[in-house]
Amino acid sequence: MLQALYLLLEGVTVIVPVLLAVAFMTIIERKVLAATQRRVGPNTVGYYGILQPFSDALKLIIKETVIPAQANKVLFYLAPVLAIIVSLLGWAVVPFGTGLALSDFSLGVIYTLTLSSFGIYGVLFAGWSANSKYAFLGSLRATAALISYELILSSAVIIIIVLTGSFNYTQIIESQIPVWFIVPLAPIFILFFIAILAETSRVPFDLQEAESELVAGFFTEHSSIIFVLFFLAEYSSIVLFSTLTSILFLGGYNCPMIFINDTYLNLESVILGLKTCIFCFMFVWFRSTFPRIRTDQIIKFCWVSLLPMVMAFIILVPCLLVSFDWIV
Amino acid sequence: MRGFLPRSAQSARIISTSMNANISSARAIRIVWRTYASTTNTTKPAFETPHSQTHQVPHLPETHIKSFGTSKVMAGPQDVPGAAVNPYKDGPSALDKAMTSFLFTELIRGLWIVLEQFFRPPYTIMYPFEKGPLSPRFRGEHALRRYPNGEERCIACKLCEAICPAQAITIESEARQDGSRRTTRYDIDMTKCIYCGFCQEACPVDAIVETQNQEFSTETREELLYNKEKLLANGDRAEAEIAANLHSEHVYR
Amino acid sequence: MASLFRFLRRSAHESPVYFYSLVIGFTGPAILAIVPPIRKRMGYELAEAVPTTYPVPKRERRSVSSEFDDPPPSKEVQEYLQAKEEATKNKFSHLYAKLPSRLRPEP
Repeated sequence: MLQALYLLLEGVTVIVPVLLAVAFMTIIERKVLAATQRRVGPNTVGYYGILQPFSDALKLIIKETVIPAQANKVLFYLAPVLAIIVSLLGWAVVPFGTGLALSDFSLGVIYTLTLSSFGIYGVLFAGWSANSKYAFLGSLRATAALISYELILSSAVIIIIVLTGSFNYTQIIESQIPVWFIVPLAPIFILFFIAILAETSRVPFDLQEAESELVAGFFTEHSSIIFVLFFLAEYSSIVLFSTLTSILFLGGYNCPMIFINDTYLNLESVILGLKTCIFCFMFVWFRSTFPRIRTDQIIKFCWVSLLPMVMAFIILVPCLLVSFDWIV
Repeated sequence: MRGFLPRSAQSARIISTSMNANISSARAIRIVWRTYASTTNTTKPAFETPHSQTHQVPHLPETHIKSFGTSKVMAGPQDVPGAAVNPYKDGPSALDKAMTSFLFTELIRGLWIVLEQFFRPPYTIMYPFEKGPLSPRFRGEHALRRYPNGEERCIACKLCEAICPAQAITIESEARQDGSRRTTRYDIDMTKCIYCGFCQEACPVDAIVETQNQEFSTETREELLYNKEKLLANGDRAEAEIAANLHSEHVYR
Repeated sequence: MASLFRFLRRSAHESPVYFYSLVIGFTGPAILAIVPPIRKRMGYELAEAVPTTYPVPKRERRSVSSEFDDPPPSKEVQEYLQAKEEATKNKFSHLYAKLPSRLRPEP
């Protein structure tokens, strides 16, 4: 009984800061976008606009939920629920310190890749259930782009796995103590980052959402709570993928051990948070710099340009490891 | 221009018509130049084309040789007929192109520029606390002015009512008790007014002017239908400002 | 040969993605073929494989002395065992006898 309570408390301890991080990611995005455009973002609600996400959430919750008459109600409600559940589940394997993951799953990487494949269902159901041509087409295009870039993502991750020897995130972080993987695998980092930009449907790959053009693409018909869930799911996957990038390439919670931490404060999670912030800033930085690529250019870019490079590295890295006898 | 020899009879005709038609000299020069240019052979001879411009469309060696064969000037050691030509000689090497396309050089340059902008101060004005500059010609809320001795300036000439494009001004006039011509009713419907300033320009005595005030929004529509008392009160309140603006602008009016 | 060189140079300029992917990809097996002999000549030993099972010795099985054998079962025990075997006989018993003992079905 007490055991179950402890487990619940652990889950809450992970989920609540994650949700706060996701909420603040929205205001970070708006403020950083504004700063790169030499203007000030939202600055009225709290000090420097800090409480803006809460007022946004309140406004969206009070709004009226409008469902199209011909929509498939089950899928209409299921899609955002699925999207956010899948996005939040991915946080279960992220280690916030030595041995401090909710579940130190020995197949953590496969779990994450499976969840990102599952998230595509949310996109598909949303477009299908809205029963409007444009939402449907938007979701089909989004799905095509998402499943294409899954390949690049998985392949780039496989190279890291080969270098590490284990699917476990803690093991990956421990094996980066000598050198962070971004140093030997810099080209793969570039490919992985591009794949992540496409997986979360961010600029330059976001023609499916195209906020300034198509209203919201495949989730145009969804309003109020449902929209909040999609919105949160998208930003949660942004923060999750930033965390994964910092774990896989930047050493996770590793930092030079210049002092022994005897206190109960978990400095390692702060280090992980700082590295995640770098990548979140890069997401927004890319959004404010680049124009969009057309959908057919997105898919062509994946299959014609990225896939040969990734395949080349998948052949190169294991050959290097075997011939220099570095297999762990 | 008279000493200029026309290239053909046609251009001579064009030149003479341009000279007779009192066109400005710049336009005439342009006409003359176009006729001259159209009558000459404008295709450049092949030996004048620099080698580096042709590498974008790599020709087969034979076509190069054809154009080279006509001139004896430019045949160098690399232009032996039948020899292989490297179309990529001038320009970025293969490795440069590869690194540009794989490492996204120009994209990174764009990212750097945006990052520089991130650290610069914003241009935003915090509106209710800071306001932007307004010129003395700014057309805002209307006001009726008075003379320095207190007499109202408006003499009911109805020029402003006539010129108002939105017909927002309504005037009724009667002789006052001391015999002078004054209005009894002077209404400006601020919801019809387009704030063009024609009434200000039309008034012969500078009675109706537009102040620099733009923040007179109300919560009921009726308050925005200004009548004479309101306009006079505006004028009394803002007289110093109106007078200063008018003084600075009077040379242009 | 010259035309091969020209083809390679043209593909390096015009389609760098395919060209460099193939270059990087073929570097892998090339390294795999070239480097281990050089390493062996330079004296590097390959690391010993991590054991995945018990290292069974590669010699003939030595016979065990018979002092450690159990005594043969007594008469009652032998009858009990025979009765049990009769009771659990079914038409597949001759096949079950071929299985190793841990896979045989429980009585």
